[in-house]
Amino acid sequence: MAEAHGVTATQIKNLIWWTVNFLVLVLILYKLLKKPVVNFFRSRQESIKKEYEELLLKKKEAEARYLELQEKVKNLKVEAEAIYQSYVEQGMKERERILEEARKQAERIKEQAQLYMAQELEKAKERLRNELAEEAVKLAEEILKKRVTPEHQRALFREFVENIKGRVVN
Amino acid sequence: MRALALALKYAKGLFIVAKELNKTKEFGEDLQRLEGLLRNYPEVFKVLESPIYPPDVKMEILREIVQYIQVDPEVERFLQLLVERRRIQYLKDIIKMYQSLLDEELGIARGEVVCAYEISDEERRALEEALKEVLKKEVYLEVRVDPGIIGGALVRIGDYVWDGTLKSQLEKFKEIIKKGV
Repeated sequence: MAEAHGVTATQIKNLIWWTVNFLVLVLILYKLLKKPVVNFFRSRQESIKKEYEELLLKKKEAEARYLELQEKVKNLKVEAEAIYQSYVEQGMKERERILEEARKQAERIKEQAQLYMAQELEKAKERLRNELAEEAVKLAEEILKKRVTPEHQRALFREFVENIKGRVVN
Repeated sequence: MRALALALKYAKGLFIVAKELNKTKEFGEDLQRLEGLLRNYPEVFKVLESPIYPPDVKMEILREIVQYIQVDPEVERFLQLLVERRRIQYLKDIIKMYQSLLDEELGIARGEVVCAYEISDEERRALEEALKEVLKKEVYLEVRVDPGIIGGALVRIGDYVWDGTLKSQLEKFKEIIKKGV
């Protein structure tokens, strides 16, 4: 009957035996795994902390950069205006320089043209004088050839002889 | 240039001989006659100066010429020497040089007068007299007529030039107009 309704001694003995085994196993595991587990979690904690700090630093940098960019955006219009003004000034200066250069060039061209005109005028005058001289002498020759009589010829010869008389040869 | 130097050398040689014989004028006259003949018969001189004809042919021609114009025996020998030495082609230059030497010796200046008309002998002499006064030498002028000078006269004697032509006066007048003076 006792066998049919209660716990047997063997069973109790087995229970105690398994319990002791279990406790020994737990003790062994505790002894063997305590250090690596603690170390694992500690290093994990440190790396997470480090990551967190880095992220915090990056966040701060990003905020600073954001502020800087905001400032730059604010100044951008002023800078653009300054650049624009600078370019306008440079353009004005360049315009003045080009105009001055053009004025000087025009002056030079004008002077050259005047010089050329003066030279051409002088050449034309010379040509005219030459033509006039040629024509005048040609006309004079023709008149003389027609009008010089033998009497004139003799008179000219006598005059030539008289002129010779007055000469002295060195 | 070499031809002139050779001509002067031979002319001087003949002139020295003429002076020794006291016949400078006579030799000059002989050469003048010879020059006149060569001028009148240029074909004769062509034969004399041509290298084609042998010296004996030239000598024969020379003998004929000498007989015709009657020159001094010394002049004849001189001419023969020129043929022998193959220098006869320089005869005209030699005669010219001899005349220059003779003129220098006798104090004679030769030149030409260019006129627009044929001047009379009297006018030529008057001019020669006037030039004699200036040059202190006897002056002999050859007259050349050139109507191109229009009037007046031009005299050339050696390096001297007296220009009294209307043509040159007109040229001067032309230069004055050209220069705008």
